[in-house]
Amino acid sequence: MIISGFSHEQEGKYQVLSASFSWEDSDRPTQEIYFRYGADSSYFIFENYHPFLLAAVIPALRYGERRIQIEGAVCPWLMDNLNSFMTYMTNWFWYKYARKKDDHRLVTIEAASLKTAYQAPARTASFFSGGVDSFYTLRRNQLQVPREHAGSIQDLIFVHGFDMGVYPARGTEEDLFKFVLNDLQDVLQETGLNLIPVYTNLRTLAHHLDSWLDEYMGSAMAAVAHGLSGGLSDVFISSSYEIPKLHPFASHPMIEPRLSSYNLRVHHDGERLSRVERVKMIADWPIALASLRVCFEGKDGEMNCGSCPKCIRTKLELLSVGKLQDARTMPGGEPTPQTVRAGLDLEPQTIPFVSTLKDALNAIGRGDLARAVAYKEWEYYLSQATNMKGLATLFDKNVLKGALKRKFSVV
Amino acid sequence: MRIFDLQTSTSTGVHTLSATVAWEDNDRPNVEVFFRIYADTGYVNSSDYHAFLVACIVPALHYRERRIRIEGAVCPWLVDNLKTMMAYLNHWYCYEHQRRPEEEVAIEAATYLSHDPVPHRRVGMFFSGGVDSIYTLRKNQLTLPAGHAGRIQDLIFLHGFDSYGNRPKQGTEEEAFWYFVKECQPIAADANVNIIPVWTNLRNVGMEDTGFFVRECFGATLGAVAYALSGKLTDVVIASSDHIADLRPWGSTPLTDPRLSSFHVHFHHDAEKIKRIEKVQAIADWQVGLDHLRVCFSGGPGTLNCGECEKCLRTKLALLCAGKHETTKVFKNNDLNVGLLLKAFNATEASLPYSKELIQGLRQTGHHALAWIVSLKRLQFYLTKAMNLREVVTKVDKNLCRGRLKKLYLRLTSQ
Repeated sequence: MIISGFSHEQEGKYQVLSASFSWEDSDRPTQEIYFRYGADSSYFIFENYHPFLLAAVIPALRYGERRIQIEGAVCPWLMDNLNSFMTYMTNWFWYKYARKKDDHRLVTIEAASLKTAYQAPARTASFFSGGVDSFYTLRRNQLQVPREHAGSIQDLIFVHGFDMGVYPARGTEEDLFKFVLNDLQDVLQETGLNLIPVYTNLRTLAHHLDSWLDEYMGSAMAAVAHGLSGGLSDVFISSSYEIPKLHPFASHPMIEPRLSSYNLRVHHDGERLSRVERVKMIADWPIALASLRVCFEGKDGEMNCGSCPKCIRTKLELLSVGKLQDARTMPGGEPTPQTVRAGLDLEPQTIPFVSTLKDALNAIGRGDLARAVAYKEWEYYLSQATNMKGLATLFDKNVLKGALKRKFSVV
Repeated sequence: MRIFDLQTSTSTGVHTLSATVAWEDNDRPNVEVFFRIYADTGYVNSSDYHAFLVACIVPALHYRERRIRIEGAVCPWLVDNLKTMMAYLNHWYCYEHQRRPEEEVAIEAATYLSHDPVPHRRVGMFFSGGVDSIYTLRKNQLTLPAGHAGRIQDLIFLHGFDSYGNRPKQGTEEEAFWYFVKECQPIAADANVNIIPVWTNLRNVGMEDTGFFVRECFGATLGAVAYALSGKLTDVVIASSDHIADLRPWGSTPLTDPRLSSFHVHFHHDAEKIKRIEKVQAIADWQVGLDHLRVCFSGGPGTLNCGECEKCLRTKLALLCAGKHETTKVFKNNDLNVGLLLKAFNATEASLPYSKELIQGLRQTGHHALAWIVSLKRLQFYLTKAMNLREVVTKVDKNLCRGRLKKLYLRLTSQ
């Protein structure tokens, strides 16, 4: 893969970074990847290929590119870190990549030159989706770190092109993005923080949905952050899982440090608390309850739909800490055992949340809801046990060491 | 626990940073913890208690102190990171220590409002002269251009950790330590780095047990020493012991080392992406590193390595795979044969991952007899574990019974 043609232009209030991605070992056409930042020029440094390099690593691994050649300078710490990042990925996902378990070939990173270090201003940002995890990171930071401290979050980064605007059936969802941005103004007013909206099309580099959550999401966020490395020294990515539930995932406490350059450090935050505990922490913050956004299906001016699995789960979590009635953005009222059984469909990414949720519901005397959650949990495991494709995969992975996958794999 | 009375003193160019650690919920005696730093005064950070907080956090958690009270300010980032580190230890060792996941030691201190950073970033690393640290140094020198701020500039040598001064029968081992420092001068000269010897007694804060120290404490204690030097150091590299595929709960891991960081002092866990045998192959081409390799704690003045212990033998085997065994001069002797391995090479919990790499490497280089012996030793290790009834019951209880047998046992024995 060759990344070339770096461009930095101003389009109105936006700074646009773009570059061209040419595939070498794949038939894929050349792609133009962009990052549009709603930030002033002080956040940017000269000819910064780092966002594009970070955007390229997982697609390059996935599609079997032998190298990523950058026609510009790259930080040698970042290059070394990305070698470690790729080693984690090939160790964790060797089967998905249709490799042998001990095949740790990496994509070679070739840069025209090595970046020297520079002194970035000490300033901290956080990725912010309006969900539980990012509100928790913000709240914790605001409570523990004095505003004068350089480690106090000053910027919130909100991205279009990660979970909004990526499903053709839903269109560009720019209106939804602007709606959410507008709704976050109260948060900005209360906290005094700066919001940086970002538009990017980097997900077009890897069209598999399963690679987004499992492999790509973390480095994609880091890619966006590195575009702002002229003005930031540290950026937070909120943890999805608590320590006992950590598993190979795109965003992981062992991964985020490996997405750092010498000048921009990426931090994984919040894994010491369970999701219910994070909900408890933000539940005492009225602005969070007034602005919480957990799903993308809200209709008629609502932030959330109130009936999708994510909304149901969040409502149960809020109920368990006694704050559901205050959560103005969660329509549809209190879930019943019937709505839980009908709507709380569980997936591999969400099954880790179930055990603490059941405990929390039992602790407040809602055994009926806990049993409904347990019902869905068993339904999930039963579906896994009777899923022939899943069983065949397990057999191939553990007994045949991936031989079938390697023989029949099509990327 | 209270930490107070931060002091610095200088005598004949050696700077000592010390504070008193007083236990509150245990009968343990007060300890005056010191860091004796053989470097210029600019390195010594006497403006905060970070070094002592980080030194004491794990023992305080282990011995169930309710709080650590500091008479001074600490960085809020460090406080939050240490809470996360305690959460990892609770999760990993909840069975052994019967602690609840949310148990932590409260850190009572004023909060830094702001902190002037040191004007220039500077990177140091902990250096033991072993394969891991030589590899990390070499890789840093090869991947970062001269003049890059990320290039390692300081090697920190420790007395009072896992060797040199922690074996009462061997005395203070002062002579052996300074011999080792002198032996590493050529490495430092070749890499154009500065050596900083540091003596410390911080293991006296409840870390006398070696098992507890290596399983839980040693990363944090390295962090403590680094904070003592944070008058100049902003980034500290800790070489990884384990490869990604073999990561396990341990005193220093990619999960916990970054959690030693404050906002201005950053800890980096390095080189878990490469196997130990590959590290040996990588440093085998660096003659000065190879000539001053120190892997065991049984050498002394006149010889860096005894050549006969398990660590020496496995390093010799790795050097054999790299084709450098005959040319190396760092062992008392270069003997390596089936008889010696049968007699002295015993697999341990810590060395198990390396033996697997060695078997592969030895087979690939045609040393099948030696590979067979290493396989035999691995099998011997597993059989010994399988026949240890207590171990078997513990494993079953931990993995299947969720610790219920242990809880029952503790309840019955406390009555």
